[in-house]
Formats: sequence, structure tokens, C-alpha cells
Amino acid sequence: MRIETPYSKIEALVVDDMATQQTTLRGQLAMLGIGKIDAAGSADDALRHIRSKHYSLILCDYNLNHKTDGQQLFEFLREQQLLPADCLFFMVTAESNYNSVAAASEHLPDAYLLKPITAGDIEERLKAQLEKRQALLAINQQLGKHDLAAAASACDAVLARKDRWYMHALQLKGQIELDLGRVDEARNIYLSALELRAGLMWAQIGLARAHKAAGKFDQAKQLAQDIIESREGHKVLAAYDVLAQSLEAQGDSAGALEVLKDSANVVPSARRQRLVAEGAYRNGDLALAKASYAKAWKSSAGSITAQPQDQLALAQTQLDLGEAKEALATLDTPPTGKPNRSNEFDTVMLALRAQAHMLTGDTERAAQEVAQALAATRHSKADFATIAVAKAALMTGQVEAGLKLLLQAVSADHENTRIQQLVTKALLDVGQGEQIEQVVGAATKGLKTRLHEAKLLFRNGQLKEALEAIETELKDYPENTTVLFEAAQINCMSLRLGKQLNPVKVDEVRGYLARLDKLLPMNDRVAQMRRYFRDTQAALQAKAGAPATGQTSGQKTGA
Amino acid sequence: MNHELLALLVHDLKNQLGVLEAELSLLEAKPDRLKAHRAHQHCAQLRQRLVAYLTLYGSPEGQLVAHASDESPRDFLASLLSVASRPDGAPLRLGSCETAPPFWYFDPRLTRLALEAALHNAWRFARSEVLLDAALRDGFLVFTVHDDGPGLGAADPSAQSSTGLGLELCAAVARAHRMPNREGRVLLHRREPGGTDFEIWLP
Repeated sequence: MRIETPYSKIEALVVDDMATQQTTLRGQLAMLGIGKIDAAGSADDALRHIRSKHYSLILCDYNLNHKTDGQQLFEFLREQQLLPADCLFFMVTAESNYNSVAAASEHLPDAYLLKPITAGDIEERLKAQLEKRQALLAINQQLGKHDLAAAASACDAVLARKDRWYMHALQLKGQIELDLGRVDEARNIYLSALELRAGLMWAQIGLARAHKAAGKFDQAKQLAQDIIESREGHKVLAAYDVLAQSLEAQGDSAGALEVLKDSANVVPSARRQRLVAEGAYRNGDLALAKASYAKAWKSSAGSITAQPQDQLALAQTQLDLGEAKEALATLDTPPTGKPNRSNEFDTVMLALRAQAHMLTGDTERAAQEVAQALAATRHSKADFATIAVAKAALMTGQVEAGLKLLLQAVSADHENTRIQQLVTKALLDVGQGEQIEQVVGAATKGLKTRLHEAKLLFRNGQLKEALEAIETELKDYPENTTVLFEAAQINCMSLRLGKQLNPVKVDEVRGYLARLDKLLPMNDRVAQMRRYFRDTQAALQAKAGAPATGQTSGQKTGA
Repeated sequence: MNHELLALLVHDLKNQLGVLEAELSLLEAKPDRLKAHRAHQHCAQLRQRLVAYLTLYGSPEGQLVAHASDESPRDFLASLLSVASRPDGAPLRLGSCETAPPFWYFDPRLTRLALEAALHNAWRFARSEVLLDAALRDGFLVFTVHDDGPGLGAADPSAQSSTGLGLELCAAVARAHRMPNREGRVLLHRREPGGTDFEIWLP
């Protein structure tokens, strides 16, 4: 007969490459009364298990003696949102790894357990984490429903108890206020946390983010710099990110790139190398872009963190440097591990081969490849793939098709300066610099004019026509962030004018905000728009005398 | 740590390992649950001493780094009541923790190692009581291990196996907890009519 313990209902997964260690960990979990325990010997194996079953506890060894270590597995699961909200992730690590792993991570697991571990160690951490989950349950339930306002109230309830979970609730509330665009409230929360505990890292980072969200970039930069220079802070990646984003917002792309380089030196992960490579490419530092893409590609080969895009971006960089043979060698390298290639991957592959063959003088082959790539390009977007195909078209003399694609790429997100930088670079590379104004300028101007006209219609009281105009633009450019912002704003203003909460319109705005969240994660402008939407709802509810409900508040940004 | 102390520690661990080996060989011949439990305790004690040694002298940085997290001092002390290396019959009680704050920032792993070492020290001297408590004093969290032994300066009943490692570890753990202008420390007090208070002050 199985003994019922507080942990009987837990389903656990043990991830360890050593069979003996797997057996020990399973035995220790069984001692706690955990009935269902699966085991995986590698990150890939773990991934299969996690995709097919709901676990509430994962016990993972840091060293998996394979392409992917435990921390990379954990970060991958978090970033891909594969871990259920109620799943605890415990990392088992040797003491020698602990200091470096714990200090320099994009995400922290629920607990680190230092080897050798006993059943008692696991139980102690499990008990503490379950208590924490229970104490913060109401907050997380509301966050799960994307009801930020209700989550903030749930935080207040915990804070009022002034108990052991006070600081946890304060930390959650700070992030919620930032997501709601209430920058002053967020700043005050972080300041109060720092008053309780000087130097508290999450509060310092939060304060820097609040400064950045308020447009106080110099203050944000100073604080981030102070963190990086502190004893505990030189590996805190979030501080490097705030610093780089503030510099970028002030127009200092080169400075931002330097900061990203520093962060990749501190934590040389594939993800960090990609950030450097992408920034270097846009800024025209092709040697650095090439080196960083190569590092990202090689270091993640065969690992779950591998991204097919690395191979393509490296080849494009080599082509831009005139290294056609090297680019072809890159493109010819078969993928290690599972191929997870899409149709788009194959199209870009063709476009890059065409570019390479043009450089080697094999124009006939290049023309065939471009024809195939163009035929396969259905939806042009503001992305690398569209630009690569456009570039191939321009190089092989298909000027009209190439320019059209670039025009579409800019229009797809006409105020995205990154895309404008990439398109400008592509035109200069293929000797079409004189087209920059025509392509970038025209696309931007065309959309600006149409959006302006929609707003004029609105101001003249032609609400219906204004909304129709903006929705037409959205149909053509569903991922254009400026159009999405305008659509959200005009709809909110029309709700205010109509003086009632039209549920269809409310849902539409919520949809626009969700799309913006996906396109611009952790973005301060999205948070501001969400705040405006919330204020709109609150004003209309107050008029109607109806209490605010969970169904009518904003969306949560990824965090 | 000098060579003399290292030799003393290794000598002591060798002796304890010998005891454990004898216990295990007896168990092999005749399994017995109670004896297995005792062997387990001895194994945990050995491990505790080795971890303490490695924590102090094994870190490549040559300095302890505290990873402070938000903890409940009371819950933390409660978890020490079931420490695996506690000898059978060794007294241990949790005090009221009346003035302890609901949460504090400290490194639970290092602090646990320090308090475990302090507990083993207290158990060597205690007559009938060892008391764990937590309090807030002058802006510090203070963990206390009180024993009702003969007090400071008394002859150590197991002096042969004492290397001073425990106290040295406690001091290093306290120092690893640093705030601007404040640093952790360790204090020993004689208590009247008898007994000793070991205190670790964490900023």
C-alpha cells in the first residue's frame, strides 16, 4: 500500500545522463512519497517527456554531458513557454559550478540543489516552494488570466499581511505596474524595496527599467552601469540589456553594440552571440557579425538551442563580405541533430545560393534559383528572409521584383528602424543606393499619409470611416506595429466618444494589444497603450456604475 | 589552514570513517534497521565536516560568496531540527523567535553549514539543552545556539577531535554576508549560571 504524503500527487521527471544518479534521485523522490517518476537521459529526451505530459516537478542535473546542459534546457523551456505555471524546476549542480551558474543566467530555476543531495534537501526545498506557491496563488491565478489589475489587487492583499511573502509580492507588483505602464507606481515600489534592503538586485533592475520606461534614459543608464560595476552585478545580464536598450533609444547603436559585446563576454551563450551578431550586422560591422553568427551556430549545433536562422545569417554575412565560396560551404553544411527546417528556410537557402552563384559568375544557375525563390515567396514581411530574397532578385537583374519586396518589407512595419537599416544596407550592397529614398521614404510616407488621413476622418467625426480606413491598413499589414498602435488608440477614443463599452470593440483592442505584445515583447510603448486601454475601460465602467471585472482588463506582457 | 590542522582533520575523518566501516560490515553480516540508521547518521556527520572543509578551503576564488535569498528565519531554524547529522538523543529545541523578522536576506546554504557546525559544537558541551533562536537586533538578524554546558573556557570533552574548523567556518560565513558599511560577525558569550551562547549576526 502506498503511503499518502503531501507529495503523493506530484508527477516528477528526473533528468540525468548517469544511470546510477538517475536511480538515486528516483529513489529519493520515492522516499518522499512521490508516486509517479519518469526519467530522461538527455535534454532531447527530457523535451519529449515534457511535451507529452504535465509534470509538477522537474529535477535536472546541470551537467548532462551532451550538447545541451541543464541551464540551457531550463532557459529553452522557459523561453518556449513549455513549462506549466505550476511546475517546479530544481537544478542539481556541483558546488564548483554553482557560483558561476547562479550568478549568470537569463532565468533562475525555483531552486539550486548542491551535490551530494539527500531526500531531506529535496523535501525542504519542495516544502518551501509549495508554501510559496500557495501564498502567491491568487496573484498567479490572475496573471494566468492576463488580468493585471486583479493581479495587482491580489498583491496588495499579500502585502497587507506583512508576512514572510512580503518581498515576493512587492517584486511581482513592481513588474505588474511596469506591464500596466504605470511607471511612477513601479518606481515607488522598487524604491520602497530598496529602502527595506539596500542593494537588492531585482529592485535595482526594476528601478532601472522604470527609468527607461519613463524615458529617463540617462538615469536608467547610470543605474545599470552601477549594477554592472558592483561586486554582485557584473554578470547580471538584465543590467546589460537595460543599458543597451537605453543607448539604442538615444540613437547610440554603436554604444549599444559595445554593451551587448560585453554581455556576450560575460555569458557566451548562443543567445547572447546572436544579439551581438544582429546588432553588428545592422551597424555594418560585418567581421564581428560573421564571428558572432559563427559562434552562435557552432556552439548550438546539435543542441536544442540551435536555430536554423544562424546558418542563413552567417551565409548572408559572408556574401556581404564577398566570400562566396565560404558562404556556399556554410549553406552546404548539413544540419546536425533533427532538421527543423521550414519552407521559408528552403526559400532563403535558394536566395542565398543565388547570391553566391552571382558572385562566382554562375549567372544561369543564379537566375534559376532566384526564380524559384521568388515563386515561393508569398508573404513578404519585415524580416531577414524577405530581404535576402529581394537582394538575390536585385543582384540577378530582377530589379522590379526586388524593389517591390523591399517596399513591402518596409511597409510591413514602416517605423521599424531596424528594418529600414537592413533595407538601406541591402540597397547599398547591390549598388541601388539611389533607390533608398524611393523605397524606404515612399513606403514610410505612404503609410504615414494614410494613417494621417484616417485620423483626420476621426477628428471630423467620421468615426465609421476612420475605423474602416485603419482596418484596411491592418488587413494589408497585420504586423505593422505603428498601424496596430493607431488602431488600438482610435478604437479606444471611439469607445470613449460612444460612452459605452462595446464588447466587440473591447475584444478587438485586446487582440491588437496581444499582437503588439508578441511583436514587441517587454515594450514600454505597448505598456503605455495598455494603460490607456485600461483607463478607457475604467472611465466607461464608472459612468455605467458597473464594477470593474476581470474580463475587461489588459493583457500581460511577456516577462 | 595550516598543515598541522589539516593533518588533525584528516586523522579525525579517518577514525570516523573506520567506525562507519565497522558499522557497515556488521550490518552486512546482520541487517538491523536501528544500526543502519546510526550508520547513516555517522555518514551524514562525516559529510558535514567534509563539506565544511571544502566550503572554507575548496573555493577557487579563495573567498566565500554569499548568495542571499529571501528566507523566513523561523522556518529556516525549524528545518535544522531534522538535520541528518544530529546524534541520537542530542537535545535540540526551537525558541520562540519572538522578535525575529518575518523575512530576511541571507545565504541559506552557507548559514545552514555554519549553524550545523555550531550545533555539533554545542552538543559536545551541552548537559541537557541546546536551544536555537532568532531575533532582530540593531538591524541585524541574529541566530543563537545556546547550550547549558559548563561555559566558555571549560575543557573540551572531545578535544582530540576538535580542529577549530567549525568556528572558523562560522566566522567566514558571517563575513561573506556584507552590506554597504556593515558585515556579518560571530560572537560567543558566557551565560550565567552556566552555558554558552553562540551568535551569528547577519546584516
